[in-house]
Amino acid sequence: MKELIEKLVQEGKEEIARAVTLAQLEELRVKYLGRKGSFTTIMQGLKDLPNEEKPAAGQALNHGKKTLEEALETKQYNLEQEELEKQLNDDTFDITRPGVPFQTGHIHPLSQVQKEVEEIFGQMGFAVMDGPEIESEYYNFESLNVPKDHPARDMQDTFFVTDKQHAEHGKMVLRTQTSPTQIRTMERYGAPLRVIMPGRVFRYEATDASHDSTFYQVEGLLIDKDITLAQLKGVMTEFLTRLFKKETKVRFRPGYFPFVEPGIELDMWCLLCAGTGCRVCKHTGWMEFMGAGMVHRNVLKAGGIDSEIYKGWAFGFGLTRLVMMKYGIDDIRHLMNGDLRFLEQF
Amino acid sequence: MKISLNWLQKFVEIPNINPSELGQLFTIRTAEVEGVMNEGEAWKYIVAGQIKSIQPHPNADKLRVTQTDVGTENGGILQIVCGAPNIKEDMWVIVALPGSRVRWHGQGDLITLEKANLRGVESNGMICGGEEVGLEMTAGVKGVLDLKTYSPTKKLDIKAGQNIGNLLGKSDVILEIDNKSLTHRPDCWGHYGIAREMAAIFDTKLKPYEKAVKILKDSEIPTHKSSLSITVHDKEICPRFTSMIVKNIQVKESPDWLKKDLIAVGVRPVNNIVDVTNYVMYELGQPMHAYDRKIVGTDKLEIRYAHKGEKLETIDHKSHDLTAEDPVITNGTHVLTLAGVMGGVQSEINNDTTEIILESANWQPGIVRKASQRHGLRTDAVQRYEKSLDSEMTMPALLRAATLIKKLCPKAELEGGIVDIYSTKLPTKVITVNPEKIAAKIGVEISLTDMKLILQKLQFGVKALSGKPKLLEITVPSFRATKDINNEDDILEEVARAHGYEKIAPTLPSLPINLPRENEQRKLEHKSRDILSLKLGLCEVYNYSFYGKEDLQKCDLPEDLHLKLENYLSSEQTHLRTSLVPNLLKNLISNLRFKKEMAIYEIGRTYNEEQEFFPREEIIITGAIISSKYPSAFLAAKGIVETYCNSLNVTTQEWKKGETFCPTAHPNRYAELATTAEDLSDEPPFARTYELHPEIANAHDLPSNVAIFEINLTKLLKEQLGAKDTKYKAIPKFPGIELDIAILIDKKITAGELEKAIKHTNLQLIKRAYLFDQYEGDKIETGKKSLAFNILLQAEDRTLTDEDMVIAQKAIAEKIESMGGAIR
Repeated sequence: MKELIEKLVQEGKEEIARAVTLAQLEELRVKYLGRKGSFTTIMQGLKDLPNEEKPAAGQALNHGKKTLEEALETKQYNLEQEELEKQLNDDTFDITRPGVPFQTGHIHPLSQVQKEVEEIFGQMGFAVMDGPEIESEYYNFESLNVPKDHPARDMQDTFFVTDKQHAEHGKMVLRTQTSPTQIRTMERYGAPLRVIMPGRVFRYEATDASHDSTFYQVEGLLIDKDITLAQLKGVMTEFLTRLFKKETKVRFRPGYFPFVEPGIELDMWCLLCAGTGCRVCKHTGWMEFMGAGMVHRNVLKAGGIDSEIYKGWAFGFGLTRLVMMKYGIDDIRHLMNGDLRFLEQF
Repeated sequence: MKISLNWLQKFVEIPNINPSELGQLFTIRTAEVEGVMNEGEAWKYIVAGQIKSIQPHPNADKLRVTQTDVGTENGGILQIVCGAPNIKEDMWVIVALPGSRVRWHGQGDLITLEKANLRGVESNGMICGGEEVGLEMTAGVKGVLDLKTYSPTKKLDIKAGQNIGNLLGKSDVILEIDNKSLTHRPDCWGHYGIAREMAAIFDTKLKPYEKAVKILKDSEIPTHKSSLSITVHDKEICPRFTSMIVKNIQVKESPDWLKKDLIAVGVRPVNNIVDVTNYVMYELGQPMHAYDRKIVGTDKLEIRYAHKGEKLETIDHKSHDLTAEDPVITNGTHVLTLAGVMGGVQSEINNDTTEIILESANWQPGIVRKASQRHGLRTDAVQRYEKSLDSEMTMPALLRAATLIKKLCPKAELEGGIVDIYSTKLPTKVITVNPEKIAAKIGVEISLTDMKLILQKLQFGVKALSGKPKLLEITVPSFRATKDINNEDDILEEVARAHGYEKIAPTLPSLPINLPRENEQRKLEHKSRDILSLKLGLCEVYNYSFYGKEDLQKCDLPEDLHLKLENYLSSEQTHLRTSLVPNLLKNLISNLRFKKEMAIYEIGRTYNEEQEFFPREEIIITGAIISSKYPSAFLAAKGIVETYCNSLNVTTQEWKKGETFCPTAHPNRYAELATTAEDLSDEPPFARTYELHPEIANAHDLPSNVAIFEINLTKLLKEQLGAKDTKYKAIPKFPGIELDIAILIDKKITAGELEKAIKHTNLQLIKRAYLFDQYEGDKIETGKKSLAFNILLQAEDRTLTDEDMVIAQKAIAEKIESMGGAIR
C-alpha cells in the first residue's frame, strides 16, 4: 500500500512538472485528486486493509495527497505568473500616441516679463506706480525740462489729440515715455521715493520689425538725501543679473536726456558673448540698454521737491525690447497683433 | 556726423591706438560712436583689375565668365563670374579677392568673400559696384564701377593688383558719431570741437585754431571800410552777424585735397566756393553762406522777420510762403535767405559769380528751429544752430573761409574790412561748486587736485576759493556757456565722465525701513491673468489703443464719443478706443484662418472724454469667445465671469438683462452683473456678457456664435472688491439625495425663474437646482420647452429618507403645475 502511494505521488509529481498549461494541470488535479481520481480509489481500498495497518496507510495517503496538492498549487502559481508575464509582454499599447491636449491658457510675454520686473524691483524696495497714458504737453515735456522748441522734442515723435488744448497744459498728447508718471508721483507722494513705473507709451513713427507706434517702458526713480550714481550702477547690475539669471555687468557712458544731469547711457554685457564681442553687439561686448542719470533740478522743482535737500536718480528702459531680447523675438509686431500662433508659445 | 581722424590730427595729437578702441573710448568719455570705418582694413584684398575677356556662362543667362588681370602678386589673370550687365573688355574694375569684406548690393552686413562655384563655374573673386565696397559717392551708379570714369580725383594711374584704398587715397579712419548724443554739445559739431575732447581724453595738447590752420592775419585785411552795410531790425533773431565781400573769384571745381576731405565726411562736392563754406562748417562747426553780390544787387542787407505774403524759393527749388515768425535776410526789396535755415535759389553761387558776400553769423536757436519745422527744411545749418552755437566762432570761421578762397582763387581780394554786428554778447559764466558734494554724488573719491586738472583739461577756468568748505570757482569757456553748462550738476557731469564712469564701483542703496506701498491695481491685473489664463485657459492678447473710423462704424460705436488723433500713421489708427471689442474682433478674424475655436482676452485701457481736460481712462478686461463646445458661447462667457468673481470672492447681485448702452450686444442676449456694493442708479455695472449683435457679426464676417464679456477693473478696484479671503465652509456630514426632473413649460418662463421657484419650495433642503439640459423643437408642443434640472437635497443634521424625497418632489411638482408646467 505504502509503495503504491509513493509510486502514485512520484508519478503525479512528474506529471505535474511536465504540465505546461493550466488546463493540463486541471486534468491532473482531476486524475489524482478528483472524485474519481487515483487517491479516491486508494482511499476506497483502505477499508479492506487490516485494522492495524489502517492508521499508517491513512497517514501515508494524507501525506501523499497533501504533497500532490502543494505541487499542484505551486505549479498553478508558476503557470499563472508565466501567463501574466506573457500577457503583459504581448501587450501592444502604444505609448507614443500624443498626450491629450488639455485646453491651456497663455499670459502675454509682456505681462510675464513686466511681472518679473516688478517683483525684482519690489525685492529691492521699489513700489510700482501708474499714470495716465493720455498726457498733456506739460507733463510729457515741459515738466521734464523739455521746453517748447527744444531739439530734444525731435527725439520723440509725438501723437497729438485733435482739438484738445489747455491754457496751462498745452496740447493733449499720447505719452511718449513713462516719465510723466515721475512728476505725478512726486506731486502726489513727495520725497523720499523709490518707485518704478512700467507702462504703455506711444511714438509717431513708422512701423517695421524693430519699431512700433506702441511699446512698453519701465521708468525707475529713487529720491533721497544721500544718493549716488554708484547706487544706480549697483541696482541695475543686480536687476539684470536676477532677470537673466546669470552674471551681468553694466557700464555708464555719457548720454543726453534733458530730464537728467548728468545724463548717462547704460550698456549691459552682451547676452550672447558676455563681453567678449560678437556680431550681435557689433563686436563691442556691450549692448545699449537704457538711459539714466541724476534727476535734473528743474524736474525735481516741477514735482515740488526741494533740490537743495533731496537728490535723485532715474532710469528708463524698454520693456518691449527686454522681452524681445529675453525670448529672441525678431519682429516687434508679433507683440501687438494677437496672433495665437505666436502667443500660444508663451 | 562723420569725423575724419586725419582731419582731427591737424589739431591734436592722438596716440596710435586701434581705431575701434578709439571709438570705444570716445563713446565712454564724450558721445556715442556708432561706427568706426578703418579704411586701411576695409580695403584689404580689394584691388584694381582689368577685364581681359568675357565669355558667356554655360549654365546661366544672366551671368558671364571673365578673365580678369589682378596683377601677378594676386595670381595674375583670374577667372571671375560676374552678373553685371555693364562689363566690357579692357574695363578697369574693382575686384574683391577671397578674404575681403564686402556688402552684397550695398545692403546688409559685411560678409567675407570666398572662392565660389557659381552654377558649375569657379569664380575667384567678385567684380564690385561702388556701394559693395563702401564708396558712397557712387550711389546711383548701376552695375559695377568703371574705375576710369570714377573721379573724386581724376588722374588715376591704375595698375592691375593695386590696392583700391591706396589708389583712391583711402587710409583714413572715419568715426561716425551719433547725432542724438550731441544734442547738448553745440561745441562738438565740427572737427575742432571733437579735437578738443580728444585732447582732454588723451591728455595731449590742443593746437590753437589760428596756429593749426592758415587764417588771415590782421595785416592782410584791408583797413578801409567795406561798402557792406548790415541793418538788424529784429535783434533777437541774430546775436552776431560777421561778413565781408570778396571780389575777383572764379567759380570752379575744387582741388582734389578739398574734395577728398569733404567726401571723407560724407559731403558731396559742388564748387570751390560752396565747398569752402562746407569745409569750414565741418572744421569749426560754424555754418556759413555765400551770396552772389551782383545778383543781390546791393551791399545793404537787412535782417528782420519776414512780412506776411513774402515768398522765397530755396536752393532745393521749393517755394515757401513766409510768415511773420520767419527770420530772413533781404536786400531791401526781396528775401534772399531763410536765415540760419537755407539760402534762396536766386542769389545762389553760379558759374558766372565773380563777387561774393560771405556770411558767418549766429542765429537764435528757437527761431531757426521753428522756421525749419514750419517749412520742413532740416539742413546741416539748422542742426547746428538749434543747439545754441557760440557767437565767438563767427570771426575765425569767416577769416578761415577767406583764407581758403584766396588759396583756391589766387586773384581773389577783399573788397574792404569786416563788418561785425555783435548784438548779443553773452557775459562770462562763472559757477561756484562744492567738490566734496560732487564726489559724493558720483559715489567716488576724487581729490581736489584731480578735479581741478580734469576741468582745466576741458578748458574750464578753475580758481580755489578760501574758506570752508573748500569751494571752486569755475569759469565756463564761451563754447560751453551757450546752454549746456549752468550749474554744479553740469560740472559734476564733466568731472564724472572725464574721471571715468567705469571707475564708479556699483553699490546698493540700503533698504528703507518703510516698505513700498502695494499697487493694488497691478496686483489685480496680474491676478486676473492668473484666473483667466492659468485657471480658465484663455489666451491674453495685446492690441493697439486706437482703431480706424471703419472699425468703429462696423461696431456701431458713435464716432463723436471718440478722441481723435491729429496725426496718425494709418487710417486704421485714427481714433482712441472707447471699447476693446473692435480690435478683439479683428483678432478673431485673423486667427479664424488657423483655428475654429478660441477664447481670448485683453486687459487694456479705454479713453473717454471728460468735462475736465484729461480723459477718463478705465482698465477693462474684455474677452471674446468663439466656441461650439458649449451649449452657447454666451453661457461660456457668463461662466467665465462667474468663475472670475468666485476666484476673487466678489459677491454679486443676480444677473440682469442688459440695459446699459452697448451697441455691440445682441439686445436680447445681453446680461449685466453688479456687485452687492454697487449702486446701479446711473452707471453700467462692473461686468457684462453678451452675444455679438448679429449685424455686427455679419459685418465682420464672423460666425454667429461669438460671445463677449467685459469686466471693468477700475470699478472693481474702486469698490475695493476682490480683497476678501475665502472663508471655509464645513463639508456636509450627511449624504444628500440627487434627483433629476424634466419640466415641460411655456417658452417664456426662464430657467432663472424656474430655478428660483424650485428652490423656494424648500429652502432648507434644496441645496442646488441646476439646469443641465434644455430642449426646444418639434418633438414637443409648440410654444413649450423642456428643461432638465438636477436637484440636490441635503440636510445638515440627518440622513434623508425616501419620504423626504417624495415630499420634496411633490412640492416641486405642485409649484411647477401652478406655473402652467408639467413634470415629464
